[in-house]
Amino acid sequence: MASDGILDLTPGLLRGAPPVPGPARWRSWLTPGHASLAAAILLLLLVALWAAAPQLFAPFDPYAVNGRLKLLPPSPAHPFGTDGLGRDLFSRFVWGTRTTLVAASAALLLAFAAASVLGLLAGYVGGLVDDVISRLLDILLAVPGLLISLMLVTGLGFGSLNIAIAVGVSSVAAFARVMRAEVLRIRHADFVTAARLCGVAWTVILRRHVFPHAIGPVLALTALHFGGAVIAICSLSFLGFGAQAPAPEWGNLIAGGRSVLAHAWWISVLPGGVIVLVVLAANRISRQLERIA
Amino acid sequence: MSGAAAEAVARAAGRAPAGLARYVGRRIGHAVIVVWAAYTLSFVLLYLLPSDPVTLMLQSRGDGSDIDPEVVARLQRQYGLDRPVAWQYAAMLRAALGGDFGRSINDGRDVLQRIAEALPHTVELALAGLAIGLTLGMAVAVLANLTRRRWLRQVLFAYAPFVASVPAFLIGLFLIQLFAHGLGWLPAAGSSGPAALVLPALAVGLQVSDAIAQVTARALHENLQAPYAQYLRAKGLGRRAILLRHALRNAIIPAVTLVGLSIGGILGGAIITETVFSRQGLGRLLEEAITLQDIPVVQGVVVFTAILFAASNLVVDLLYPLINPKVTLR
Repeated sequence: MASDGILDLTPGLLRGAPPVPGPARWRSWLTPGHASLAAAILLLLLVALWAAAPQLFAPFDPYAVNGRLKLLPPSPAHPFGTDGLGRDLFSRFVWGTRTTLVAASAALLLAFAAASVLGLLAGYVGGLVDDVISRLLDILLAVPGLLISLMLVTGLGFGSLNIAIAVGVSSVAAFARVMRAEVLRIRHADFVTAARLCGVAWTVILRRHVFPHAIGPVLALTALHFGGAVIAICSLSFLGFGAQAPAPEWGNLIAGGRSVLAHAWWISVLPGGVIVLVVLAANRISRQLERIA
Repeated sequence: MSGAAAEAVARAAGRAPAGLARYVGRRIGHAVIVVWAAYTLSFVLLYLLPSDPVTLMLQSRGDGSDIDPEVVARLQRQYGLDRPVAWQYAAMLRAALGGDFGRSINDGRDVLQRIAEALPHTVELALAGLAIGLTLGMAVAVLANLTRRRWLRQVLFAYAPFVASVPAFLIGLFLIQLFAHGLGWLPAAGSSGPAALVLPALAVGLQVSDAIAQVTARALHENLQAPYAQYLRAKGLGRRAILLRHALRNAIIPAVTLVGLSIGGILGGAIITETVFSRQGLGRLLEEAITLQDIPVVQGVVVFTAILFAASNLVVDLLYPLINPKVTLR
């Protein structure tokens, strides 16, 4: 950090390559790294559009049963084929996008909100409050996340919202730890002390002065967890604890193809492939965010 | 040997047993706390969180409309749910310490007995998966650092982020599709015989291998840049010999640390993998129990998974000072 300021005496040549002028600059933009980043952003945009307006992208009604179209392999009319009831799988996948992505986002939002409150209180109030919250987080961290999720699903019951809560709670502890560490770092900054000396209420100090400065690393962590949240939501939905049939959701679509995998591979494999691509894209973007942060 | 050095060695030798005992004691204490934490969390989430566990359990067995209040009250008395929360917790914890996890709501069998039947299958799967994962991860890491072909190195370095992006249940389904239905080499499901173990173990192994490959590849790369590796090269030793005889030994340490960290993931992966392959085990038992809202079985499986988790972490913690003499015993 010190070398960035006016005291920087490093000769220009040692500071790194000068900017490449002219056409070479274009070439450096077309590296495989940038191409994969662009592809990842495009894919996630497309999937976000599926979630926002499935009726524009799905060629068929996701619930329309047709006895004559049972278990058709992929074709131009049915890109993902059809399932055992003759429903178009691509349409079902597109309609399931919203449920899955909303659940994954809700899980992260819940984890972020709960972690912010717990981390702020633990870090700023300190003392007994910090001890109680920190021990609680220790307990949550000690037990494997999937077990916490599965217990919550048992206690709350099945459904898309409940698996979102289950996944959210199982990742609260990791986020709250980071929040607490950030708050501890900022708590003794001069501007916080100044605000306190001016007689600003502690709730206002937390909201206006500490929170905005502590939020950065936690937000970055949230973005990093998006791919993982999609995997966790799909896994619980695959086990049958999410949206119940006939409602489509990425995980339960794949589970629906398990029993006919031997003679209708496309039901599980094609949606599964798209899920892998989406998670890869999310992870590619998080890697870029990590590099920037 | 100088006097001061001899004195230091003697001091270290004299102190080591006490330090080691304290280290072992602390690690055992930590394992006990993890199991207790899992038990307490299971009590809170399974018995306190639902407004009425008995109704929940009864609902899953019928259509839920004609639950007799008389039966509910009797079951609540039987499970002690009409008593204060602290009393319930203390009574259940005492029973659990004596090995009594209650009976399954579904078939009335002893929970501990059902777990005892399932446990060996899960341990077998987890161990086989871990062995495959370690071998695969190490092989990818060594090859990535050894090869001179650029494309092969790029493919091997892309292995970890790719595998990490494939959900556990999809790994299982892809393997079934390829090796059972496509090539017809191995059975797709079941839990009898070694042939039925191969695919599930491979599925768990793949899930473990990505992190091991990534961490070991980075450690190998760093070790090959280290001054001692440069010295060996200056002495005339080949790249392969430096890597296999010297760098690999040091790179094993982070891999072992990672095994300790990923045991929770292995057990979680085993739960999903068992369901995908319709294999007997703790995971299948848990999945069935959740579907039937069989709360005592869910609690029992959670606590025993936590015991497995804590015990294997303890083993890793105790092996650690043997592998890495530089570690400070705290």
